[in-house]
Amino acid sequence: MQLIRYMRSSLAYQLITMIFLVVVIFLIISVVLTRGIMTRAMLRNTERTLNYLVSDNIRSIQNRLEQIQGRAQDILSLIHTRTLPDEEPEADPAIAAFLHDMLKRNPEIESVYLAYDKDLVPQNPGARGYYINLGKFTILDLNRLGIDFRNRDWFQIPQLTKKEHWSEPWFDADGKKLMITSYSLPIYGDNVDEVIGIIRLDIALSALQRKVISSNHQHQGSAILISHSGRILVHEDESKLLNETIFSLAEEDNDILLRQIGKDMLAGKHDFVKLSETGGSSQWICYAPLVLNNWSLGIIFNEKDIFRDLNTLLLILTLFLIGGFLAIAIIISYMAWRINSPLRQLAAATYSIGQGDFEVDVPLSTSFNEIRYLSNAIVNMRDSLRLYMADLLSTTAAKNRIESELRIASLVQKNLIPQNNDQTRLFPGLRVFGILEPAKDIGGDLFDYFRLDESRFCFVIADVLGNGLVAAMTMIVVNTLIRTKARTAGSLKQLLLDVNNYLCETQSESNFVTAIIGMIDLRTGLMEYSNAGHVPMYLRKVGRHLVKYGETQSTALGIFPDIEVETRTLQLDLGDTVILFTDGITEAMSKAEAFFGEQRLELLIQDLHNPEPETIVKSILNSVRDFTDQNKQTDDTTILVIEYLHPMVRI
Amino acid sequence: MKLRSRTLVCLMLSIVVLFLLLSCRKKTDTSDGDSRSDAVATADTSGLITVRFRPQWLHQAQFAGVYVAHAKGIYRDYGLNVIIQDGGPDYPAAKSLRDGDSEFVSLFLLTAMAQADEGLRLVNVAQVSQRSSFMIAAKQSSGIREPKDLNGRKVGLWYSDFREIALLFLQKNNVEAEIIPVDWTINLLLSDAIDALNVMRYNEYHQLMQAGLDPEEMTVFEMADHGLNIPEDGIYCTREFYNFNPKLARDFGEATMDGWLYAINNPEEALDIVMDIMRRSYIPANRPHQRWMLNVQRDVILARPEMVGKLEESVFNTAKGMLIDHAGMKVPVSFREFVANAVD
Repeated sequence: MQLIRYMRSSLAYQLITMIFLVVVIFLIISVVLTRGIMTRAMLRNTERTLNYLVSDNIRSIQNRLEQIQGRAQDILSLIHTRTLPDEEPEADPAIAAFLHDMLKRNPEIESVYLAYDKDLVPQNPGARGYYINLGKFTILDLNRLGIDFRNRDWFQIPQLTKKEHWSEPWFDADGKKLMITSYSLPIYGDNVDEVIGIIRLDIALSALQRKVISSNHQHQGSAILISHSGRILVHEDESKLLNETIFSLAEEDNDILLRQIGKDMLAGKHDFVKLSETGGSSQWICYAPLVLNNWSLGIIFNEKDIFRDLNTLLLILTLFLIGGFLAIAIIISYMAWRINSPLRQLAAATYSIGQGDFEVDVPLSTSFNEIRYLSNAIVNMRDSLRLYMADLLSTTAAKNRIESELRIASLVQKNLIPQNNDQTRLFPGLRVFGILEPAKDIGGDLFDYFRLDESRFCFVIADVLGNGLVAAMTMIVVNTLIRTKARTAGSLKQLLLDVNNYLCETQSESNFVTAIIGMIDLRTGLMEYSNAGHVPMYLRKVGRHLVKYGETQSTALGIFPDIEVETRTLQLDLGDTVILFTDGITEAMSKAEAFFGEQRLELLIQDLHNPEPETIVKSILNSVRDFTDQNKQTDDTTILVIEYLHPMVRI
Repeated sequence: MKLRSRTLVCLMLSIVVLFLLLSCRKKTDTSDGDSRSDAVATADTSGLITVRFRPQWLHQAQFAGVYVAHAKGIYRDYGLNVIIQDGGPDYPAAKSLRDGDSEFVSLFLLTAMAQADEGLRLVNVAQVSQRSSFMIAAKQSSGIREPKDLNGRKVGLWYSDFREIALLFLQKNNVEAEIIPVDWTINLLLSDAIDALNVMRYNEYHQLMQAGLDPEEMTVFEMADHGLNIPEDGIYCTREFYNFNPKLARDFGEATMDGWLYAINNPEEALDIVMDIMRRSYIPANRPHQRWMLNVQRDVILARPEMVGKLEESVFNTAKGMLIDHAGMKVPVSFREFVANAVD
């Protein structure tokens, strides 16, 4: 089954099938058309030929019949020159001599009868038969033999009809089994309305049969000659002669059509018609009458004989088309094999290339240009792929190395950020929670908090311009700087100035930093802070009251040296919560390209009920995540929340 | 020449048939082929009694019962060795009986009854026909539709048999026709030399059909339909022979009727037998015609199922009356004398 399905989907099979269909359609059309056109033409030709053949045969038979009739007239003429004797004498010697001579010169005449009706002729010239038997001229006296011939057909019919008459053939039963037909010519007495005697000439039918049969043999048709009562006189089946009539044949086969044809033949018609089919083969008959004796001659032709040449032609045509089709099928199979063979090799080679084997040989030797182009293209592809793969390998190695280093950098950066634990012990009176989610492996945001001295807590949140490695490096620098300088700077203001100056001096590519740095006196809750170009800061009072601190106390750090820096101070009450974040929160973008914005953030914070810092951070973060189209999140996200619980009671 | 030849050939054929029959029955007595004047039949060494039968016409299905009884061994079962002789115009059956050339013949009823005038007393051992097949046929194209249309026409009647019935028919219908004595062919009617012709339904009527005339193209007057239903074929032997061999004669009649019943029940086999004997006798024959003849004979034989093979006295008397009134019968025969079964 699989092989058959494979065969069916092959190019050769489909081509051959299509061609076969076309060939069959053409074959059917051509056979039908040729047969239709040629059949009519050949039937017309056959009809013409048979008409000619029938007429020719009839002419030939009638010539013979006319000769016989002529001989009878000769006898009649002779009789008229003789005077009838007074009483029945011996045969008239002059007539006997004449007939003897005639019989010798016309061997087809079997016998001559010269018979008078003794009741109509007072002189009674007698009734005699003349024939040559075994070379001996014999005269038969019918009256002396006591034979009453006057109610025999040959005498009675012409006597009653007063017309010459050709008899129904009959067997001359003298051992020769000759079929005889007799021509009877009336002899009129003084009263021209009275037939007093008959001249009868017998001829063997075989003389006529031979003419028909011999002239037809070469044409493959079979002749049928019927008498005026339909009796079969000539037929290819000799057992039917005289035994059958055309109507008895029709009766035996229950053939109504044949009976009608027989009636038409007897009626003196001529026609060319199809006979009833017998045993699957059709026959045609062409018939015409013999006017002299009302017989009818037909020639029967087998349709397969008529159409033999046509059928042969159609057979040859069919064989040619089938042969042509087979030849085309073989050629197509061969060509398909020749095309398929390199194609299969190419397919195998391409598969190997696909599997990474760039050393595989691609076959190039083929006589088809198209396949050669394909081979060349595959070779090109293989070579290009080999180079590309080599490039890819080195690039991938480099990328892996960079990624590995970035992972380390990211780890370093993460380690710089304080972990949200042990806060109470480190920062008595405070609860702190921060989070930094870089947009990439490493980020430019920063938050940090640490204990500056016994009573002071320092916190910072910053955003380095850009992101990536440079921003991360800057962030590390800034972080380290703040951690280092915070203890030595003396004041928050100085710390900011130092950081700004350092960034300006190092002239790094990404030294633009916004930040909020603050210090909380743990004993008093007094918080000093400064906003250097950073987004606003919120203070959530107990009872959900939210205060926004949007004013900046200086420009962003690292742009201009020697900037003016101010600080602000505010008193934290018990339960106050400071909320710091970077622009990654407020500028987070939705699918509809809307910013998360400060208003949404404010509402969110206000709605929280007695939150801890961690709760606030996670609420903001979740809300931003829900809002944001992750594909458009390109900025780092950083939140730092500090809750002032109570003043430090123990130093 | 025709006549001379026919005589010669029939003689030869008789000898051939005789030879064939005798060679088939090796133990049959072969000494009495031609002149059996002795009225007493004697058995040969095999126990079979040889008798000769001559039909009143050429071999054809009209006598199928005889050929079938012969071929199927029915005669032999009755202890009979039957030699079938040729019939026809050259061998008048009645003459053959008179001359002692045959023991049994087939004859028309009227012909058989009329033999008494010729001094030949016959006994009917089987009445094959129960209904007349005799009729007068004309072409419709001649305008003949009713019996009166035959007035002034040429009517062909056989010169030998049945003239009385035909003439009686014409007389009963007040027809004055020109009677043309004819031989036994149908050609006069076909060639329009005459206007009407007497025919037998089983033979000439169908010959006309086989010459292209459809039944609807012909007008026929059936004698049976005109009060002239005199049945035809019967099997006869001489009174003298019967007196000496009553059982044998009755056996022959019964065997013949058995043959007929077999033929009726097995028509195609019977036709094979008929065609065979016709072919061997060089008689032109075709099977459809013989089949027609056999079918008509079947209807004729079974026309009165209770009378198969028997002659009814009333029928006999009708025929006798007709012979006396119209054929000048001088020596009337009695039914008891004429019919084998009535004698017993």
